[in-house]
Amino acid sequence: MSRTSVDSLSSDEAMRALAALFDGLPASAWLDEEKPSPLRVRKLVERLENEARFEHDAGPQSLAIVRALQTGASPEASAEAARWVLQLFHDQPEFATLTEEAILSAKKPHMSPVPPEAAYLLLGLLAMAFKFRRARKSEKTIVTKHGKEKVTTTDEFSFDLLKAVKEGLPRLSEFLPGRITSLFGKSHG
Amino acid sequence: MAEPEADLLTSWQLFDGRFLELQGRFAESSAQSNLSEAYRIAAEMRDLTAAFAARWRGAILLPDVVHEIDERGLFVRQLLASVGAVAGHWPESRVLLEGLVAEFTDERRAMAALALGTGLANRAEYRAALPWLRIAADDAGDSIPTKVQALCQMANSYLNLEEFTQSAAAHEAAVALAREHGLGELAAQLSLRKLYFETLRDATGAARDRLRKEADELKRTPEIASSPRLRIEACQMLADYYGKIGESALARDEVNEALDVASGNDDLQLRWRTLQNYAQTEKNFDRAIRRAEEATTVARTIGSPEELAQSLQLAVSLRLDTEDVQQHARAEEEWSELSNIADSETLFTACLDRALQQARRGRIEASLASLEEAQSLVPQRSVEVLYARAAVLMRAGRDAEAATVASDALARIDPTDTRRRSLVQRTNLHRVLAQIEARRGNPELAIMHAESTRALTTPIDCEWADLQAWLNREDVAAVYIFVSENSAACLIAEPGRAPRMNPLALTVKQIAEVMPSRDSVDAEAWNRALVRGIAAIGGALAQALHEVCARNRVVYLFPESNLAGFPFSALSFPDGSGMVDLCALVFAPALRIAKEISKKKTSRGALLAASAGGETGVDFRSHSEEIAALPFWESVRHVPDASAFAFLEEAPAADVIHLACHGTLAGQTEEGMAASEVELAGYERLSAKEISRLTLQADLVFLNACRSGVFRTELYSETGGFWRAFLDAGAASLVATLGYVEPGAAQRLAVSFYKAWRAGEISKAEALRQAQAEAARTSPDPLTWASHLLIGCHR
Repeated sequence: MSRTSVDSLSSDEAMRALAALFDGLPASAWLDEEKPSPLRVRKLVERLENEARFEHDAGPQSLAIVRALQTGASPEASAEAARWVLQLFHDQPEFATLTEEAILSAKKPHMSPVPPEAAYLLLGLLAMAFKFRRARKSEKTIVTKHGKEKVTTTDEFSFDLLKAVKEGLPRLSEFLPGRITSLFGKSHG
Repeated sequence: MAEPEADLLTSWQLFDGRFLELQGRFAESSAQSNLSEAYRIAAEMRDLTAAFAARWRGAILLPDVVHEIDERGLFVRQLLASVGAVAGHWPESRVLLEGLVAEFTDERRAMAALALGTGLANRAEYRAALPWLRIAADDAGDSIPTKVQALCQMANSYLNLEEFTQSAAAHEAAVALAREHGLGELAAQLSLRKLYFETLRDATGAARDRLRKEADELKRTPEIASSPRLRIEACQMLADYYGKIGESALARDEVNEALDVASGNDDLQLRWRTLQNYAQTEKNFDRAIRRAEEATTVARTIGSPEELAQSLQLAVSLRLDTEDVQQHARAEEEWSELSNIADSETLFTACLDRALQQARRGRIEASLASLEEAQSLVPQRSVEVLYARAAVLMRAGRDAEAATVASDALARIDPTDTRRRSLVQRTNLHRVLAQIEARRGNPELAIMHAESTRALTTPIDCEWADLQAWLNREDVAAVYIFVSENSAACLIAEPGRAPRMNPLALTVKQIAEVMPSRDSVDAEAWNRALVRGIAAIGGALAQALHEVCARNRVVYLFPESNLAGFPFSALSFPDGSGMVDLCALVFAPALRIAKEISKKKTSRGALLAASAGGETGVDFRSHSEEIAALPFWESVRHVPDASAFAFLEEAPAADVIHLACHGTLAGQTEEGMAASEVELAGYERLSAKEISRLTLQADLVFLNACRSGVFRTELYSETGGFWRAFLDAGAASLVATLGYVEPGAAQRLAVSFYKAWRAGEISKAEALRQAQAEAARTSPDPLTWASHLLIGCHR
């Protein structure tokens, strides 16, 4: 999938695609093969955001971005961040098919709003993207949601969300490209 | 100094030194919750004091010395009484405390009364505890913590007696008192507990939402953040909450946080409670049993039989729940110890667990004996025992006895009681009775019980003969679907025929495996799961329903809540026909409710066509315009880009309400009526809860939005969401959707429905069937047409 197809997603579609990507990630992609529920991701983000606020180890700009994502105050900026995350996932060979499927799914119109969990899932996936692991130690077969089998490694697919969010969240503003950070900046003027 | 006086001085110094040393050790052991050691030390202090008094009895002593010895004697009795109450010496402790209450006239009377009341409450003797706790609250004087604790314990006792008004009053008085006297930590703790207690009485889910939100916030307050005990309590409440909604990983997060806090603290009691809680909420057996075993070890160190019994009971329950014979053997060993030390409440729970396990293994007589034992232990919990007894008898095929027992249990519950526990018990008993009576060849009785499970909170007096007459008059059939752990059945009532039961080859587990997960946030993934569900369990359902659907033009279907999201219209039969070729399906909370609704006089002339959500890329405005332009309406009110306010304002005057917009079942609330939502202009959400407050006259509401026909409910058979909201508000019928629908297909179906309904003088049920059959001929994807369902009145 080219950069253009991710770019062609509308704001709503980008957020839906993100939710679909999260939905499609197999349990084997997570630490202890335990896929977090959307509510767990949300709780985790809330907790770490709160800790970061009190511990002063997150830059104010990172916290402003997290807050904007949580409240939906900057839909355009959120969508842009979502597109960027989708592209990052798509660039990983292991996730390319899943990302394409998620984008196709998001393009189908439905009479349902963007799931409110999408903003939290975006933060969770942002943190994961931040922590992509490339070590290849042991091979493992996983089955994707459409039953396709492919060989990958356990390590590169195992994400400790807690750790990833903890490390990624305070450094969001450094991690995100300047053009996206500035979008959030504008909306908070 | 004369000789005896010198002896006295020496003896006093020795006594005093030893006494103070023991007092220090007592304080240390108490702080570590090492209760058996603390009790042993207190007993040594008692013996030391008694020996000193005996040695100098008859001697001429200074009044100050006499007074000091008496005071120390009293002090030691207090220590023994209070530690004894929690360290397995309750009978002795109780006698001591009663004596102290009678003897003291100051604040110490309040403290003794508090210990006595607490001891009784801890042994489930709530009624007996209350007078002592009242004395403690009244006589505490300036000792505010004692007064607050007494009020709190009273609230707890009233709660267990299910006297909620008194419980809430005692709790509020305690919180107010704590706040007034600057006891922030205590006030925060009480607020937490009050929230938790509210969740026990609330059947809507709203209190659980509040608990989650407020417990999270309270955890961050300085009072709780700085108090390990309170932080652990907050975590435990949240763990309990997450466990109940199936978020076991989140529950584990909370308990892990509590374990972290407890590990940095040498309070054994705190550690025990945390481990115990972990084992209770953890779904993974290996992790759970490991923590239960750790909790047992800590309980042994504490030396309190109550804690040890609770840990053993939990371990036994976990082991019995497995199929592993080695675990069963371990459970037997633990059971022997447990039965020697447990209080009646703990043993009651253990007996129930054991009885169910014995029944699962076919040991029916042993199971019934365990239930007898449970009943004798806590007679006031007879409904639970009778329910379990009915289930065991049913499993053994002793249906007549099971029916008598379940009916007896039902008769013991107040039918006007709408509290959560009572509703759950009544639903369960009616379900059991419906299944038993169906098996016994009493389908009329079975249907009346099935009806009761579905209309618990909407009591409408109705006899079977009334329902049968209505089915005959309307020429419609009704099918109730029951699915339990290991069996399923359809109860079928048709016009002009005796009701009967059809077996159904389905289990709860099979349904859970194929229906979409609540955690799924992707529309397409959800729909794909639903299609897989149709393929996996559709055959069994079609087989059970084929005959009744082939013989009747309209069939009311009453599936239990685990099948409420299943698209029955998509079923196809072995002869190649589809459900929509054979008959029209209608859904309703209960048949008696549909019958009641059918009495309403309705008009069909005034249309409200509303839409919202155009900013999201779907042209909803053209949808409502197209409906408004149909040539059937006497008057039309078209409201594109409808706000929630505009919709609520316009809806009461309309005869037909059509709303095209986005809809969802929100994942972030546990309150059933608040979870069902539509999104109106400006992304504003309107929930079923707000709709239910309206007064409507509409003959039909067509809610063309995703998932507007699914709902969240805690009972097996009761309905919720927009089903209840629109019908309770006064609408006669509702068309809503089960899955994620594609806007173009949903609009075509709506237009086709209106054309059939208004042009052909046919019922709404038949009109929807025709629209679906027409769509089915052109679309291979069942979710483009089978997702819509008619709810309420079929006409």
